[in-house]
Amino acid sequence: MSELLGFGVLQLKRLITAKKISAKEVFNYFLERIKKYDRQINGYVTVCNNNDGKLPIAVKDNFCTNGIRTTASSKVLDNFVPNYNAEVVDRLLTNGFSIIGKTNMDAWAHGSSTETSDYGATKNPWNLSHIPGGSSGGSAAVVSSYLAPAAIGSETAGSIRQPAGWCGVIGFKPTYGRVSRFGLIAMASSFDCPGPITLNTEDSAYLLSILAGKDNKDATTIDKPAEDYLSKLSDREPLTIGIPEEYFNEVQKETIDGFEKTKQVFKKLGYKFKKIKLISPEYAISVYTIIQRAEVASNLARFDGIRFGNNKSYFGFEAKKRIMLGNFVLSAGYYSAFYQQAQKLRDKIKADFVKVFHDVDLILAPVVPTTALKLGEFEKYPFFGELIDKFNEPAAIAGLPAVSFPTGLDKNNLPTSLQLIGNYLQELKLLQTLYAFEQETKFFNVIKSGFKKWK
Amino acid sequence: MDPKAKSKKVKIDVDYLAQLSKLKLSDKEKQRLEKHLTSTLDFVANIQSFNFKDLDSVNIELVSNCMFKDGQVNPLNFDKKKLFKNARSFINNYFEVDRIL
Amino acid sequence: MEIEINNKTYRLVLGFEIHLELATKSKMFCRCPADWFGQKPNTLVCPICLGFPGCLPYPNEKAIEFTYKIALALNCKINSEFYFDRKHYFYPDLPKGYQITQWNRPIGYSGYLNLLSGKKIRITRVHLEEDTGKLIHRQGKTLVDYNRAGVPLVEIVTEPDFDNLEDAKEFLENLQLIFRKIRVSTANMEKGSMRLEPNMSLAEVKPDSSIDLPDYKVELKNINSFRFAKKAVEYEIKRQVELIKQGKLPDQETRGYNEDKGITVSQRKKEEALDYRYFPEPDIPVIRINKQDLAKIKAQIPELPIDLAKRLIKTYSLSKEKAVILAKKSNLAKLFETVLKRLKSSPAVKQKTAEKIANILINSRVKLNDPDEIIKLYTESIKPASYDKTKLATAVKQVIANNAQAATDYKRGKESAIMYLVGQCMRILKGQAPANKIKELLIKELNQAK
Repeated sequence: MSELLGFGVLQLKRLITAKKISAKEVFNYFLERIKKYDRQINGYVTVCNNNDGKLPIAVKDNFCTNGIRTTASSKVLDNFVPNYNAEVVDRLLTNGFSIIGKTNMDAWAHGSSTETSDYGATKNPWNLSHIPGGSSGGSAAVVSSYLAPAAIGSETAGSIRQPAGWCGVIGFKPTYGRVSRFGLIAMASSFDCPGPITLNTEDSAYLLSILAGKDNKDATTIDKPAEDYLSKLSDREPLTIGIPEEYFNEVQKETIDGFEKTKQVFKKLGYKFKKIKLISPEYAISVYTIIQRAEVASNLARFDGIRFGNNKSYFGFEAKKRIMLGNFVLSAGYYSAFYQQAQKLRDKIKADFVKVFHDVDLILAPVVPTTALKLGEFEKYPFFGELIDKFNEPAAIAGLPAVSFPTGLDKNNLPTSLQLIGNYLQELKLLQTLYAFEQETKFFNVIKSGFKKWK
Repeated sequence: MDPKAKSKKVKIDVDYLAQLSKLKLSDKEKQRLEKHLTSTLDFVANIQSFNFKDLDSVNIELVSNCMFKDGQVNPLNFDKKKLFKNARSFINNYFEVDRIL
Repeated sequence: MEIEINNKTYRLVLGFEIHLELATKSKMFCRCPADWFGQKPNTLVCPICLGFPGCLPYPNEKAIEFTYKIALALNCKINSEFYFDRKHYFYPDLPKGYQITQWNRPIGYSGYLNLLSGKKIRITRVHLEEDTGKLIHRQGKTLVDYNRAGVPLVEIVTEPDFDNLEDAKEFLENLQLIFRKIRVSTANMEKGSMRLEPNMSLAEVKPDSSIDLPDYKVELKNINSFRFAKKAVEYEIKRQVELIKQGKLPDQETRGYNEDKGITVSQRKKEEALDYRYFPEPDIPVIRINKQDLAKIKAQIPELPIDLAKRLIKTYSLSKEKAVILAKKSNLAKLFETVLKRLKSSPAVKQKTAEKIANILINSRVKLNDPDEIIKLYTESIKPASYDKTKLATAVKQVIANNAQAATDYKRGKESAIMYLVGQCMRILKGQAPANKIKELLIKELNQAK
């Protein structure tokens, strides 16, 4: 059934409604593909064979799934089977989806490579000796190689956008608080955002409309219902896009090429451009690292092996490192110089964006300085993830929504990407802009070439 | 303001942090951790020199109304019987741990 | 309370940390039932209060309302905007590895409560937090029950303003009354819904009669009644006096009270206390209470026992003891005032009337609800008693005749004999004559017979 190859969620739904195929057959189709290809890619930690006649979707293994093993890719939770669903999972199930598998990630979401997983690294489907990025590397890889029609990932600072960028698919990070974090194994509580990784914009819009909204189990969710993203997708107003030139300074040449191409398309579509000045992303690295580590150290305190899971001796080196640094920045004598200072600066970074959004509607920026790195390369950096995610940290710190999308391929046939950042709760504007771009360019056929590799 | 400006050196006490974190570490791990932590800390310690004087802090609040009414039914669906299946040791309705003195 | 040690005068410096379980239906951060006492272990739990992965706290509105109520009742300054903090430490009864509490911005602070004597006890802070589970130690194992984990707890801290145990008793009893009166808690020490932790030291009294707070303080734990609190403090005083006598400064530490042995035992030294690494709880946004809601809560607070007692004393010249008893039960005080208003006595007889009404209310074996009934009883009691003078005279003569010994005893000066004779008369007369009249006539007859 290779005619199904590349069909997104809504496209499959239309086929099913038109009775051209059944959901059960679709589910089986993906199971077969997983059986055939996942050994090479290692995108899944757990595959769910229970085909109950619903549309399959992949979910990152840090979302608790009732009755399905949930590990956060760490041996601490090797045998943990939750008896409750994450809110995100509940909403997917209520809307006719079935979980086909739990995707691989950096253990505890600590990383940008998916190499720190206790279940082996995930390979980039574009080139198996390269990494897919992380921490939602498994989710991005399975979508890119069409081992699932879409996947849910989570982002703390870049964990959706970066792997989506490196795997040549679409990664959407909503406004912080737009989607419930209940049941998402917490990494950094004030940053974590669940979000969809998809092959096209309408799927992003559709999944977001299901997932967004207030949850009376998550006190940080925004008290506004989800907008009708899907039906308004092709509506468009002339918008101004801001370009933070400083961001494009130390970036791979092909990313700049992709940027030039993209700019031309937006110009053609009637968008205006404006140069903007944002605080250097270098500052965001320190602010983010400090606050994140503190929250990580706190959130991992509950894993004592009494009520669930294995004890702390099962933590990997990266987790231990982050816990210790987190406790350091919170400890007496250092708390005000590090944690409190970082929080003060966080408010300033928010203010910087608020100021800029008076003049522009969206911001166009790179996602990563390079295309996908090779396996093992990150060992060189003591805090690799934070450096490679410097373009993603500012929006994460501010809690703004953003989406990364493919813009082309580099000389090694690895995807280049860019991102659009929006103001608070401007998911619709982002989706509309992306949709227009997609209609015009089909993302330069990057997404298609991606899953075609895995015919 | 140079983001990489170095501020005064901060000393990491790995043993104390391990105690706070309740992590048992081998000597090799301690050495490795000290190295990694020190280099990360050297980088982020520059935060003390940032000030962004010309930017007023902004407080974005999008959340209102985040309390539940007393006596509400639990909105979380969970199987009460399976609640204890993940426990290491659950006997006679108690979680068991090694004796605390 | 002052003690002489080595020719120097020392004074007790005593303060309290009180933990109060709120009488909400649900727990603080999840919707599990909060009524844990006596329940089968680990039955009032859910993934949230067990600290399962991905679970988040969602605050209970009533618990917050109750905390504001307590803070207002204790005359605190109010933070209309507050947030929670995480307090980190490891213990099996703490599921998340941190407790959600308030450190930086408590709901109430700088409050006070005046004792009847007028002495002011300062309240440092009133804040809201979640309770931990319970541990049972059995053979080689420790058993954990999480039923109590997550129950809302209000912590009230006083300044070390007590220098004697009587004041402390009055204060604590009053606190208990207040909590029950404003209906925020059962405040029951035996059931653990009110817990006390005294902290104390002995300070040298300076020539100007003031003291400097000493360099140490001892915290006492594991006290579950006022009686044990008294015993524990008394033991501690003795222990500390001994040390000071020997020229040693007592250690700053936490000591547990052992009720079987009646002693305190060292638990952990304060210097070793681990860093709690407080930081604001990121899972719960800042919460605000507006002026109107605050006013509504304040309006719900009835007149508090000490204030009521003071007012009764002032307005009706009622004795302190009676005022305190009436103030303990608000319905009694209310009846009291209703009755007095109806009687509209002239100020001259007011005090006597007040005392009489109070007596009736306090001593009645039957529950009195109706002001009219009380007025009836009162009217009866002040009526000059009507009785048959002839029958009385006969009874008196008869009793004197039949109780020669008692009569002789009285004539010889034994005053108590007269009461015996009165009693005998009353038996004959079956209560048909008032005791004072019987006594009057008996005395007259006996004196005449001299």
